[in-house]
Amino acid sequence: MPEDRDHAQAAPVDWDAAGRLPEYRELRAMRNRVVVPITVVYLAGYFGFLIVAVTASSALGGRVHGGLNVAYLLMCGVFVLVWVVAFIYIRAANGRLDDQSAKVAAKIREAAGPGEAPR
Amino acid sequence: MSGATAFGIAIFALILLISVYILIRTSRRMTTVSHFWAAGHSVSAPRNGVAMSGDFLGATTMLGSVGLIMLYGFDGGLYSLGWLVGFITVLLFVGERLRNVGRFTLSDALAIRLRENPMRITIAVPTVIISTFLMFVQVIAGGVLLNALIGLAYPVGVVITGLGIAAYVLSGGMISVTWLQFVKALILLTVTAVVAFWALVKFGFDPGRLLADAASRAPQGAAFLRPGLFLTSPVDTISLGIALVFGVGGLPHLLMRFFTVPDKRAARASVGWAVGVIGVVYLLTIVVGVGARALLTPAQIAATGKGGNNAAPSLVQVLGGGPDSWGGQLFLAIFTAAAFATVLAYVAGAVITSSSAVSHDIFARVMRRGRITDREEVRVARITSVVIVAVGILLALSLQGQNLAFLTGLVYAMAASTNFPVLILAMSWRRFSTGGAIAGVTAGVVSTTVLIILGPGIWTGAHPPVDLTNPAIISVPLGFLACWLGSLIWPNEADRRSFAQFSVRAATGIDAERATGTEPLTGGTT
Repeated sequence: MPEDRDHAQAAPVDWDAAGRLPEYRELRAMRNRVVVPITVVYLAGYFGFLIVAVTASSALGGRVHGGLNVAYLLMCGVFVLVWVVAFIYIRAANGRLDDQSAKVAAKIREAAGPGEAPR
Repeated sequence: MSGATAFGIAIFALILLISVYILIRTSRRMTTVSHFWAAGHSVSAPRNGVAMSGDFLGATTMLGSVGLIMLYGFDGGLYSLGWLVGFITVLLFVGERLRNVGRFTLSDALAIRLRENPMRITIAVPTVIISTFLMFVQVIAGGVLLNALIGLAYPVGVVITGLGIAAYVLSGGMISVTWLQFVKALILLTVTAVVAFWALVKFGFDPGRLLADAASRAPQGAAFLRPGLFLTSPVDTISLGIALVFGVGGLPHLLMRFFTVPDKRAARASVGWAVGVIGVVYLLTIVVGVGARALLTPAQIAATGKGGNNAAPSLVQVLGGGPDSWGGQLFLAIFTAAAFATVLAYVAGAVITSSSAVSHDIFARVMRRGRITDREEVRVARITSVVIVAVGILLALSLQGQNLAFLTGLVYAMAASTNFPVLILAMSWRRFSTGGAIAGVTAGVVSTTVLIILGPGIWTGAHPPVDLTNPAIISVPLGFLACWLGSLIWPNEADRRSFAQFSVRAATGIDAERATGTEPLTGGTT
């Protein structure tokens, strides 16, 4: 890699090669399989709810229990959605994504060889 | 709120004592520049997560949100929801990846990916604007609260608030700020929970009865329980939603929090804790706001002010036995003191962030090219912090009594249309260049500012040229578009080559900056 003073440099690693590692590609694919569905669900859930709330307010007035109506139940649903989605992502990331990421790191260390290897 | 009381002074003294204790215990650990900016990367995930929720729960939550819910019912709660959802954006795309590539600030992370000097100068602009605005609004609240708590004149209260914050940031840096945020978030959670619990007791723990009773007392009747009383325009509401959901991911003082933890695992766990605490506090806020509507008399509600800012304090006073009873005075004093602690911690976090953009990013990295000793950088940081606090005090003194609600819209819309697009594109688009980042940030800053000035928040004429209370629906696409166009017009081969390093490191955490060891305040590390 040519001398490049404009960019902060880290340990001497061939990052382009690292980016082409099959293990890294697999990590990215695995991550997408977790992140893409979650993104669709949380954005659709929140903005969907928001759009329904501001355009179809009168449809949400149906009482379920006392003053508790459909609008409040849906809002509680968004709270639960946020918590569930956070839980699912953190579990997946702590588990299989971090395992795969450790494999990538091991490969990169191996390729960098002895000496000033990255952590 | 009533004037000074013996309780008020006693509780204020208690808050001061706790703050000074935290300060003394933590400031001794402030030994290196890494401790000053990032608490030595050694804060545990639960503590950082609770502190992170503290970064979000300002006096605006305790006072403003409760007031909105009391006045407008459902829409008051809907308004806050976007912040919570925004944390999922942070969890998925920002937090842990930033931790993997950064040292102390957002710019430290981007320095791997873009040309360092122009990028740092560019990012510093929205960072300073956002943090300063967030800060001085809270300083105003601090002055008002001190006036209510111990009867100090407003200007004196503002100056004392500012001095207290300066003492914190100067002596202990991020270590003290993190502890202060942590303790404050716990106080806020406890106080809100007690008030909500108490309000629920009055209705036999039946939220249905509470809501029905509130609606029967509201002038809007059953509409109080449905959306449509506050967020009346669909376009405005979606725009606000965009600002909140993506703005959280570009908020400098939140991004800085991710560098205080040891690794990516702790970074994502922090978000988990924050989402839990903030969600619970928002739910409790709804109970308190609806409770205020159900339990306060029309005269008391009228006395809470135009935005209903005094809803929560009034409810606390009524629950305690009324304004003339010792119980009412005591609980009001406790609540006000908790709100003041909230202000103190919130501002401290914003000051250290502003200061980092000026003294770390611009002075130490750009002007000195990193050739600076730890001692010197910390000294510059302290001087900068004092200047920023002084600016905050001056703004708070000159703008008291103005309607500053538009500032929230401005701040989040700006974060969502500057830092957020830059961060996302740097991580995902190989051809993203320094020119693109400069174009995007410029477009974001200029468009949010112009749209706000032409909008109903500031425009004094009858028909504002831009009928949007929040500019995000225009400014966020503009920010992304300008990033894209700028990258096409000013491509940079070195930027493109750095993509592999940046994205591999962001994804794996290899070469991430490690903890430098700070002992915890009490007990063992997690």
